[in-house]
Amino acid sequence: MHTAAQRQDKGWWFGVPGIGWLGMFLVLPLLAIFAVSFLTRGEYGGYGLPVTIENYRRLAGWGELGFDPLYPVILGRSLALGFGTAVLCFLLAVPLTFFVAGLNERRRLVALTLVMVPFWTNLLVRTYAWQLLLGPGSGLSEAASTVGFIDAGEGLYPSWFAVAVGMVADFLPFFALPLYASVEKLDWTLAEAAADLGANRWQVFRHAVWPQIRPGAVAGFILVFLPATGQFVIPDLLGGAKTALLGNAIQQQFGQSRDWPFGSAMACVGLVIMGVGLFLQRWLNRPKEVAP
Amino acid sequence: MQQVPEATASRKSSDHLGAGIEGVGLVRAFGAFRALDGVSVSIRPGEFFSILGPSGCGKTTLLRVIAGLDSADAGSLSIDGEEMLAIPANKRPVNTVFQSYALFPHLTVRDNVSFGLRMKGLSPGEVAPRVERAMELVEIGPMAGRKPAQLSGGQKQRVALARAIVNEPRVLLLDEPLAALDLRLRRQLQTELRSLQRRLGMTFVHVTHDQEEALAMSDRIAVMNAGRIVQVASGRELYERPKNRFVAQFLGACNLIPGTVTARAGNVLTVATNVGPLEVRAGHGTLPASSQVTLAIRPERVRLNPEVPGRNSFSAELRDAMFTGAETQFTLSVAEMALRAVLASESVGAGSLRPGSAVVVDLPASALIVLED
Repeated sequence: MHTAAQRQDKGWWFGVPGIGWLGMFLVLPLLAIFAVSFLTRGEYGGYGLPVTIENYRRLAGWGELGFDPLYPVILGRSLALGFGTAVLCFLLAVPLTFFVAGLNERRRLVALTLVMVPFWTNLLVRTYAWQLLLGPGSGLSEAASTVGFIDAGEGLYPSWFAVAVGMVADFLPFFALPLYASVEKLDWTLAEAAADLGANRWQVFRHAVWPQIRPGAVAGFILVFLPATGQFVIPDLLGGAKTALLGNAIQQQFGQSRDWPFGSAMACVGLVIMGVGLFLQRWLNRPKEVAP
Repeated sequence: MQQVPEATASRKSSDHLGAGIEGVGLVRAFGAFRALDGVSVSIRPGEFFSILGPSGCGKTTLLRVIAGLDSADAGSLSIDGEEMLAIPANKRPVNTVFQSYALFPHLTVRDNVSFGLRMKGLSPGEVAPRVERAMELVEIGPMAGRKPAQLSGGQKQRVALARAIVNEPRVLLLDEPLAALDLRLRRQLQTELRSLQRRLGMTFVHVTHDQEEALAMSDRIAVMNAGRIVQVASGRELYERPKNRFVAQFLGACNLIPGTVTARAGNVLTVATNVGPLEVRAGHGTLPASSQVTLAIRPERVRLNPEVPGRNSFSAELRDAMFTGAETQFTLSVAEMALRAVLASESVGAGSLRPGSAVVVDLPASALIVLED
């Protein structure tokens, strides 16, 4: 017989390939990006000395011609896009998961499969499909103009509405699946107990249901918020490529602008903001001390 | 549990806190299965009423319909004369102690107990003293700051009880409240629940499958089977005058003797059985001659070797004797029928009643019960 500690000693070796992989392809590049963000752009791209914090100053708004809010705005816009997407996904995922959990076993399997079907298609293909579905002259656009949502002859695409549709369509499964895991094992007797004690429908949800599904909702929120903040393909394709977001701004620095140090600084700030967000969430959700 | 402060106790008893419940023709079907198949029941204000039956008999469904957690497909239900079926659970003057306790795991004991009062929108100043009093009443004051996961089964039970009674409901519904506890704790809490009910004056409706528990605690018991109420009576009456085989066998051990009515003289019936002709008190029923009946007799009412043999005395063979402490159980054989008898061990002389010996068995007419089926 091996003790748990002995097994843990041996188990360490099984972690080596994974740790090696992450070290080589995640930690090292991140460290490199962190280092590059303090360097200066070379004459013809690339990077070199001197070491400087100029990239971060520029990012915070100190431009060559005085204060320029361009980059703080880009950052704020990206965070708003991620947050907005996560909120929309939450609002849709709650009724969806309750509906699926209420189905019989066979239908539940079908419904869950349907939730995951979008994963099987390439993101670009799905997004181009939305362009067709929401473009001028499409059935949906015609219907929207009939009810006065848009002017006749215009399309639902390109617009923020189209961006929202595309983002939610892409990210909903990431919210729905962890939330479903919580909803499925919900203890309904707690809801009955709350109603029995005089709670109305909203109070039953707030005090007896929400505390049970909250871990799933938090997991879903993070799974959507983080990638949605860095997402730029969908806003580009469905928003009309008019707005800069964190993702395409970084891509631009590494591509067209050939300013790797500045792109690296942007990437680092994005990482730090999300890291702080994650930490805050963990801290807010920490298990509370319980008095005896 | 602690004494209720004098003022509270007198206020509550003078308020006649308990409400009466009137259910008429209640039906609840789940698909083809009728959990309630026309249940009519009348529960008196302030009584300890138990619903007793085997699992699946519909007793929990009846409780849930009273609580409003389940709807009825037909029938009517009133509490204190007020029609209830259209009123949602959160508006009914009842509270429930759930079998699984259903305590909110994320809330402390104190917050669990105060839940109902907070939902009603009472101010913290009004809530706090009532919560403290309820927690004191069931002796969980020292655990006020704990989470349910840190409590033992018995403590959870007390929290569930406090969480319900703090709202001073007109009716307290208890769904197998003691089923998850070990025997000793169960006996103790039975006594406590009974005295709590007397002091609070609430109507308690208690669902159980444990006949001893029902007998020990209740003013009256409704015996349920297959979605119907079979008999409603006090525990003693149910035991001594069961209506049919189901009640007779569900409450305590019983010898059943099938037979045919051969004669009737006044209120004395003569019934031909395998054992021989038996004289029986007829009771109120009208049983014409030659009708088929079942007679029942409790093992402790069977007499062995009586000093003066009666009309219902027969010779029998003693098959088996089993000493179980205070009592000794006997198995007798009369005309190929097995009869069970129980005697106080004290009254059984050492060595006088041995397996294989011949005995005289007497089935007193006053102890024989005529069952409906």
